[in-house]
Amino acid sequence: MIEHDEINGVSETIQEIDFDFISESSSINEKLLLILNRETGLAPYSHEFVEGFQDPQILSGFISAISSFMGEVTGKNHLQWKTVFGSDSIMLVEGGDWSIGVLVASKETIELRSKLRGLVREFEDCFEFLRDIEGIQNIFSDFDNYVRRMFVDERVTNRTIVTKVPDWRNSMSKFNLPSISFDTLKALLGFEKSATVQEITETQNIRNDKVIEIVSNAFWNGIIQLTYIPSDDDILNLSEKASSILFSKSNPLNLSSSCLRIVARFDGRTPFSQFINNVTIPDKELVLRDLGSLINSGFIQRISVEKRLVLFNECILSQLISKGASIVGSEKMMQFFEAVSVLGSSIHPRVSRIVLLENMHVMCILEENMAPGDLDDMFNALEYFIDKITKHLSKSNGIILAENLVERIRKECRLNWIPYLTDLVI
Amino acid sequence: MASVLIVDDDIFLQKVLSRILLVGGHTIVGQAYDGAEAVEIFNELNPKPDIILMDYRMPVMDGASATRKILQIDPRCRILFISADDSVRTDALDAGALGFLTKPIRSKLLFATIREYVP
Repeated sequence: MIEHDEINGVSETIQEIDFDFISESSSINEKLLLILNRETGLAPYSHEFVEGFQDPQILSGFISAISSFMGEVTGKNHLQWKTVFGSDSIMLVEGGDWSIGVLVASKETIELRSKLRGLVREFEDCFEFLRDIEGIQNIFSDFDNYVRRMFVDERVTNRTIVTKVPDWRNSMSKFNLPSISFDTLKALLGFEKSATVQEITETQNIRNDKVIEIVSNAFWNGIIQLTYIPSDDDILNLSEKASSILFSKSNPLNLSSSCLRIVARFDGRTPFSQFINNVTIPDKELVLRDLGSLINSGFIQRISVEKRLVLFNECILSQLISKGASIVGSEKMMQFFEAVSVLGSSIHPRVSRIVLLENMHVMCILEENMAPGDLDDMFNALEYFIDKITKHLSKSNGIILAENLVERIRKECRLNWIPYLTDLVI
Repeated sequence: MASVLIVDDDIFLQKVLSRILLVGGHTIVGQAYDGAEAVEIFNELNPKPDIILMDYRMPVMDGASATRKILQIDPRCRILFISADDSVRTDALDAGALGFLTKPIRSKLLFATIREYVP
């Protein structure tokens, strides 16, 4: 029988595995994606975001061995996720029924986790027939297209800056179809070194959606680099442990004071437009570029769709409490809140993370590194809270008043939140 | 705003889709996890949903077979496929679907497509 101390020892050893062999050669956060068959340990699908990063089959063998070992130690058939920290890289692991998705990146972001989870689900759905077949690899051109769109499309907006890599013409041979090659060549020849997607669309007279597809494909094939420029509707947050680097006295990333002052305000709740449009920034273009680079390299992350949905529900509950208090009085509403919180905490433990503020508004306490599943639970806890508070209001002031109030609030919150949910990739 | 029946065996995607559609002002009238369940729920629903969002690959009964059965019950039913596998597009459209969106999709494209089919 394996003792608990031994398990801890193994776990620590895994955490300390040095990933120095993975060099940080690019500003892009993602390095390598692998999808492994749990049984065979082979990686039927892989994509290198950074060329020559690491042999996927060597890494897949290593990951498969660790996963299998950890599965035996913990007794879990279904690996949820875990992170292996290296010196400059991390591995995000997401287990499906019969496959394991592994993403190597510089920085851990919730967005990456969310995407990896979706990829594993989609892979298992599309390639169920591979579950019991050994050794089939590299037959996933359609899936490759799906992965590209999942990782790249969100980064390609009209503001995105496209920069040609030095030997971009030589890389054009990667395109199999002459039509893609011709379109890409036409788009890239139209500017010197860098241009925004908007500029390419306007100067080359190519349809905007086609430019986006060309740019996405060219980036996927390593012909260009992309600098994402945050949009007004982005909601940004610092990634885990980014703070100690970004705000270090030595300013290792050489960020301007304007940029630092904006980054310092990111709270994962407030839309970017409120930071950038309400203050005067002399070097706004430069700041936007720097912020884009910080997003590319994973120091800053856009909050995930799951978190946006939690904030949407938080908005509904907050307004329900606040407007409800103006009907039944603050004291009574506080009693309702307390009753739901006490009862609800045993049903939905995350209810206890919903707190009432002095101004009769509500806030969810959200940890920075909450996984998509945790955020799903938080969403459900908020739904539960909204339902119970509505029932209390119905009892005290009648069902019609309570339901009308909730309906009106839902509509208001929808109007407020729809801009932040329309440009998401799902 | 449309009433929507979501058919997908992926519970996580169902959740995200239904929540985003709710924020968009749509109503979720039912959720099915495979084609057979979709046919069953569709039969029971009254009024019928304005649109069905249908996955292709599902256990028990796939999306194309479910589409054919549902259109036998109600030929006016609007069915929109959402799948990552573009190779099944023809099969889905041949089965009678109004449209096909290839995953991953931007939520604004989903809203626009629903608006187009359910004016």
